[in-house]
Amino acid sequence: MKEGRKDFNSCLVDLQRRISEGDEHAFEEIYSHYHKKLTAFSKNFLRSTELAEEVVEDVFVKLWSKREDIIDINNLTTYLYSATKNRSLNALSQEARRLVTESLEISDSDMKAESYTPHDLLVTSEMMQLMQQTLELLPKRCKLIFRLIREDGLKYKEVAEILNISVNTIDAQMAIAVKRLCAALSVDKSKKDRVHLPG
Amino acid sequence: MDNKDRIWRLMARSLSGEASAEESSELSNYLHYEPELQQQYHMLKKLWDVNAELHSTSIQDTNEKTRVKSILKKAEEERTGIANEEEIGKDDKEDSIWRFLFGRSFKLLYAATITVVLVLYYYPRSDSKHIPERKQEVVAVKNGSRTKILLPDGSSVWLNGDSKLYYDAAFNGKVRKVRLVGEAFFDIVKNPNRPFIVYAGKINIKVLGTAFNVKCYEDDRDIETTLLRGSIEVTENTSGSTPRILLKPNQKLIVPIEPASVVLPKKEDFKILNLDKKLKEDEHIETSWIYNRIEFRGENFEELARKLERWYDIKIQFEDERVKNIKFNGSFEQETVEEAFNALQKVASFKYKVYGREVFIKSSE
Repeated sequence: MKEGRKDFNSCLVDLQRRISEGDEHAFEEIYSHYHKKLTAFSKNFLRSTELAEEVVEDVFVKLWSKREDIIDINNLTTYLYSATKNRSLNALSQEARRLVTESLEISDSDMKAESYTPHDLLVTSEMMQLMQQTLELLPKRCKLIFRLIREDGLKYKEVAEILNISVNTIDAQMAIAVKRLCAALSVDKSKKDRVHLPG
Repeated sequence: MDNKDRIWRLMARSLSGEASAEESSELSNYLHYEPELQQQYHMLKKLWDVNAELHSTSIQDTNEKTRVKSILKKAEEERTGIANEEEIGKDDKEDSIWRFLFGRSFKLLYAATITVVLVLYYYPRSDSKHIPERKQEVVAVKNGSRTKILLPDGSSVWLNGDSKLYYDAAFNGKVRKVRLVGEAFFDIVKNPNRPFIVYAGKINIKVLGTAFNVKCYEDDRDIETTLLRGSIEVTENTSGSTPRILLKPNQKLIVPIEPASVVLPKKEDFKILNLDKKLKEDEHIETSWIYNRIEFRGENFEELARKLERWYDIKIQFEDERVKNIKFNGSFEQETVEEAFNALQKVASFKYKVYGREVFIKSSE
């Protein structure tokens, strides 16, 4: 997956050049690479698939209508995510915007492990599922950062730029996520040692 | 940061491909003494590289091609609308302002010869929360007439024949924007907080408060920008990073329309000429049309014909090549078409015939 990203990134500059020259196929390639990820990202702010899809569509409309400028974008990935974030926030009302940005701001509660017990986890043999469940329990911002890094394959620096926070925060949040995942895995391993109530 | 926290960070960095060589070896040294953690780390590593199912399975995968098509279509609609100076990558707050403010269309002072067209772009929206209903004013002036309009901010624009000026009806953005096809003279009300930008063909002209003339007809060879008062900054509009050309009063910038790839400001690609400083403001050739004069200096017949076509709303056909290269100096003010051509005949030998709105010109053998 990381490899795939590397390949794609090396083509990016060429795709950008082709788009600026009006090549629709290049645009289609960019679209199919990003649109799902961006829609998922936008949903973090908008909580609505429909709205998120609209926002992402707007981002791509703008990209094509200003295609001559695309050649000047240093990092198309961070550009697209940032544009998606900005448009998503714009689509929210003032009040909602405040809530969203606040939830993305640093709070001490993120730094401390949340007080859920491993027993709350529905342990399955599917580790992938376990991982997903563990992630679901992470604080919102931590989850968002983790997904951008692991699932969308972004770099720490890119995420920092997109979300407007420091790389150190990314570092800390990723550490929290990994710590939780390890904890979940160790629960999984030791579950045979756990005492079960007769049921 | 305690030791343990450092390890979590190293693990995360290593999994994300962010760890440096030193950090990687630091991690493996540590894990060497922590078999349990090592096992967990390896499990995570395995999980990490499994292609993550997209976490939002609810995102429908409707036909991508259809979607791209509709995006392309909308983008083209936007392009034909008013140009937009927002640098790519900037927060487009202005855009969202549109969602809340619907400018009242401004009542134009226009002559009877003008047609004002209101173009409404409706983006079909499933959600009525934000319908960017973009109202755009287009002032179009036909051949053979000229007009003066007043923009909502109090700035005056004189439009020459065969010209169009596009602007947002509300005209209340952070930046005052207009797009010009044809020729116009601008007298802009100063407002340092709201720069005024004219999009003319491939150049952008940025203004703070000033009087200048722009000529960018699609069938001309050059875009001409003439500054009388104040100062303007000209950039190429194909990219956000081009260098700028600053014009001083009484300077004229000439940019060739072809080739399309010209990047300012390569010296050979454009010219800056100085106007005759002894002339009064109403005596310059470039702006003579505002005072209902058509002036020409050393233009050949072909170039002059284009001017005359716009001025008199006629079509001029050359029946042979030789006449095209005759050069003329002069000016017309109240003359009819016939009077004008008779005057031209006094200084050069050619034959002309007028049929309705068409004029045929050939050399006199």
